[in-house]
Amino acid sequence: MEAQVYIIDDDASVRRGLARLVREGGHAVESFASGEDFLEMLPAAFTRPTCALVDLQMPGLGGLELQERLKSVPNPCSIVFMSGNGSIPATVQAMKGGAVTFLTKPIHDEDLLGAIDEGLAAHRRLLTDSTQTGEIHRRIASLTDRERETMGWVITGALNKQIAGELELAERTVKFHRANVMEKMGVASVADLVRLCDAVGFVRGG
Amino acid sequence: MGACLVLALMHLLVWCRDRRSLANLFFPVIALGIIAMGACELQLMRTGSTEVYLETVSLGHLLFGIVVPASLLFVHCLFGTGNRGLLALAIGLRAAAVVANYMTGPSLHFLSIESLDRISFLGESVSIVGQAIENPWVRLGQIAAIAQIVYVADASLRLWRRGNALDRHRAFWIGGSMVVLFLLAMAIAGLISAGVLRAPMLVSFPFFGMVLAISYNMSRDLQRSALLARELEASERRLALAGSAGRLAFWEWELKKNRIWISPDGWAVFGITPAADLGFERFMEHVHKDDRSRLEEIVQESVEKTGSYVAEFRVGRTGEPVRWLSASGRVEKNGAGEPVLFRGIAIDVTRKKETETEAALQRSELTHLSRVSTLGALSGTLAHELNQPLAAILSNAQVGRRRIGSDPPDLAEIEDILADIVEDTKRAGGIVHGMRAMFAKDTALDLVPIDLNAVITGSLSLLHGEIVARKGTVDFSPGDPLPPVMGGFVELQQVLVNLILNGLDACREEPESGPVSREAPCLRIRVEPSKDGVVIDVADNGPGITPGNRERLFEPFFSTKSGKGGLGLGLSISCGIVERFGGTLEALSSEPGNGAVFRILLPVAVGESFACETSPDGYTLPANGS
Repeated sequence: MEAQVYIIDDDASVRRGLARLVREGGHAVESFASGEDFLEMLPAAFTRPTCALVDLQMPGLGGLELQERLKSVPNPCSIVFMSGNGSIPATVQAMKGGAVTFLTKPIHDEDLLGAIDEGLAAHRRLLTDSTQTGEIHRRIASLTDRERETMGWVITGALNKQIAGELELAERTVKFHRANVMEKMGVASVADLVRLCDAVGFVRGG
Repeated sequence: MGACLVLALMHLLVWCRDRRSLANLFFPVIALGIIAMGACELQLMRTGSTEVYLETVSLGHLLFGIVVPASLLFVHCLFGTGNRGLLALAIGLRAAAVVANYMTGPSLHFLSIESLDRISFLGESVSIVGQAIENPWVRLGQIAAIAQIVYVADASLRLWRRGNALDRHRAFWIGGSMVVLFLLAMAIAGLISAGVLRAPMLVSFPFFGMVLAISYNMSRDLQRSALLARELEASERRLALAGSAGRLAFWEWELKKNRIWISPDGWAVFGITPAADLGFERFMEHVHKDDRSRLEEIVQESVEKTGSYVAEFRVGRTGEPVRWLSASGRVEKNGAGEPVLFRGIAIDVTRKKETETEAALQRSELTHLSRVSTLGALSGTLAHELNQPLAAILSNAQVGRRRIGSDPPDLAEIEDILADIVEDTKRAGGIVHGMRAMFAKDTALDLVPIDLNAVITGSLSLLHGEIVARKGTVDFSPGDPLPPVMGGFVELQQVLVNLILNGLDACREEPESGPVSREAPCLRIRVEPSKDGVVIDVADNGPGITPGNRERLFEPFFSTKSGKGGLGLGLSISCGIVERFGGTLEALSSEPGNGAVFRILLPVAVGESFACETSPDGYTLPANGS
């Protein structure tokens, strides 16, 4: 999947120079003169790995405000901040807000491309992860109530006999549900089942 | 008669000493003339021959023809109020009488004398006219006498009206006595020649009276002179004291003789060894060589045109300590309006100058410090401004290097890249230059014509980053070309930067009442010519200025930016800068909550069309494509 890089900077020269460099690094690139312009064209959801190079100081919507706004979008793209004047409070806030890194202008090509790669990798992971958890949720949703109850006990490491006692069922029935759970969740071992549930935060009674 | 002689000699001596007072020349003429007349009258009383009598009367008329004009001229010189026409008429008539005295017969009084009588007069036997034929031309003499009286009476009245006590005394004693005694003399002569009065010709007696009256008045002058001399001495002592205490020199320059007199203590002030024959050229040698031509111009102009002179210059030849003098003087002219004397004072102002220079230096240092501290506060945004073009340059250069390595190199793209690098380098250079000028300490002392549009544009570009960082907006568009004002570009930019920063800060200030504004700072800058000069208004949208603060706003160390690092010097320094350029800086009164408006008014530069400064030091960016 081809990666996408956005450059958001109010300075036309900077946009042109950075765009050349990013293209040189082999990425598709698009530039915006302000945070407002960028938000306007924003896709409903990011489908391909995306990294935004954002200038911290811009008229109108500033870099940190843009970061806040992006959080409301599903699977927000990675952000690499740039500034000609790296003040510590702004850096701290940017990093706390989940920025990949903070680069001080003028930026060396290797640092920039490295940061972009890092940002793209992070977003790629995010996209992948979000695909996986979606599948797990779908599988959990396909279970019956009894089966979900049974799965809740299974991942705690309880034996069939114990589960039957807790749910006031016959041990054979529990065995039957358990087999269905393993099949529907697409796992071969209890360890795998625990990992899936853990990924989506599924617990007994949840 | 002896008294007359003494008085005559005394006044003759006075005139010899001071040839300007013509009155002192006429007085001895009068006195001597009267002595001669007295002698004639004595002769008349003694003689028994009719021929001698006639000749003596004729001689008496000649003497009279000398004494009368001398008296009139004396009055004219002493009073200075006589009517010139009347004077000419009286003298002319008297001269005509003298001419008639010789042309119309043996004398003006008598055509012939048949016999002389002898009568007893004051216990002595004297001759008087017996049978005689009167000369009808004697009327001319009487008319002349009336003209004399009218002239003297008129001059005396005018002098009396002028009012001062000395003048009145003079008008009364000299003018009054002259009128009375002229009348008396005319009456005596008339009565005797008409044969009504049988007495010897004693015309000189009234004139002795006149001389006495004049002497009495003149003695007052002498008395006054003595008093004046004493006062003068005291005043000279006072002046000398003032001169030595205040390092003050009095000087006079006789223009015709080119001789300069300097008061005894004054030589040291000028730093010249006392010399009797100091001329202007030698004096100028002691003036500091850098000030010579300027001083010469000022002196020439005051002698030839203005008539007064004020100058500050340095004295001290090469190798001598330099001192500052402040001199002023006036040119005195003679009656023909030619300058003759240049008189004045000079005072040593070295200490004052040093203090002034020091104060100016300190003010300039303070101004510079405030500028640097402003720039320090802006360092973050300025770095951002500068790093923008640098960032673009670096990216472009690195892409260019990668491209050159590719095979085949994309030359068209590389050319584009290089063009971008050139543009961004120029931009970075411009920013560095603007900052350098603001950091520079030694700004020009001389005022130069400035385009205020350029100052505002320059200030806004310097503050661009700061305005962006504070989310502010500034509404300004340079309008029509403005008339130039006199000032310094960097200092005016400092004032503008200061006002704009204050405006940006104003939005964060807490108003007296109501909530803190959450609005973004929004400034409006207007510049336009007015009748008094060029006006710049800087308006903000902050809470405005309370009336109490408005009064104290321009005081040093007064700040409303509590706890936000405001030193409180910005406005007082800005005010100082604008005032140095002959302008004013004020806070306009505004409704609370409507924002503050600061107004700068600078006078328009007068003179020919100027080439304006449009950047801090005339720097212009290199032209495109170079």
